[in-house]
Amino acid sequence: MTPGTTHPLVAAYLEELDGLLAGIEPRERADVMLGVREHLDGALGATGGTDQEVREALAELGPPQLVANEAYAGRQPATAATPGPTPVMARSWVPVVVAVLTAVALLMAVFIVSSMGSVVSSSSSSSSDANGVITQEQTSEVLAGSPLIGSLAALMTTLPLWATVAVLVGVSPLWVRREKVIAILLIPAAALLLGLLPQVGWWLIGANGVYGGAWAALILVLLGGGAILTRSTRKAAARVHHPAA
Amino acid sequence: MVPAEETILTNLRRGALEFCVLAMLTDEELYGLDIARRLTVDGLLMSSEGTLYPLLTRLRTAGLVTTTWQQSVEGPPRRYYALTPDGRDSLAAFTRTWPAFRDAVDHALDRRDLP
Repeated sequence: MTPGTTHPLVAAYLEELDGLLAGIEPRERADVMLGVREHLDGALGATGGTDQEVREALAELGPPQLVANEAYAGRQPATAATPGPTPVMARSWVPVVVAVLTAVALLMAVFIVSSMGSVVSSSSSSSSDANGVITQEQTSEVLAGSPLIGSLAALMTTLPLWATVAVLVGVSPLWVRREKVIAILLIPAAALLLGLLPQVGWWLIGANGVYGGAWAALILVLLGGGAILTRSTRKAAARVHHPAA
Repeated sequence: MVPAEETILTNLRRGALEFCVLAMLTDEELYGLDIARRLTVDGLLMSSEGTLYPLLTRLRTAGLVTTTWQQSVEGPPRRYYALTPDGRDSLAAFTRTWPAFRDAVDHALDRRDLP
């Protein structure tokens, strides 16, 4: 590899483009990638160029999506004549199944942790009523143990869904490496967040912090997780190659 | 440029641009960056250099151009593109067809402007 293609921005550009070209034949994909790589080597020279020069060179190349569109647009007549098989893991059902499984897993995690969370808060309040003096030690113990148990329970229950998502995303060419990591970590991260934030709230504020933390975790998982999932699914779906489209 | 114009240009380029590339290779062999720089000079034939490479791949797959690696003075070897006999025939056919097509479009547009 020459200096021109080792710049992080260049590497990111090439990786994104390569991901977008997942639907075309490997030899053509390699040829396009070689052309673009060579172009950047030539444009940036032996020194690799400054950050500014790299940005300009990439801007002149245009967005990876535009380059990929051209690659697919040119293939349409050929694919229409000889409909080549789209790789199984690059078909349109993959992002849909991944999205549905992830959404179900996230909702399950929310349900499981929140149902265990309510047990936690009630048991902590009753113990403080009943035991008076040694309240603090007991409540903190209860709160320290249970949220993580909630996380664990959520992780265990969603394991089959998560494993399926991980395999599909891991194998499918529709996600680039960075997106794969995010898509695979989403479910366990949500489960941990749901368990840990009430705990953090407890440490910071006390009993009210538990509710604050629980609500924050719920909102983060539902809105943030939902947003990440939507974006990831859209990107993957956009890379599905429709010969007729 | 407004999006509508860019869309129109994208569609127009699709049929004509590959022949512009073939025409550039009539008398000399060129490497990718060189072709890209010449095509983007006015932003009309091509607005993003990157779109050249899928096009060159297409021409190569169709057997209209070939590539050879050649040493360069400044850096790593470059892939030079050259016309094949098929590419020459294809360009000749386009060159025969284009003026009539262009005139027909002009004519159609002129008539629309008449009262």
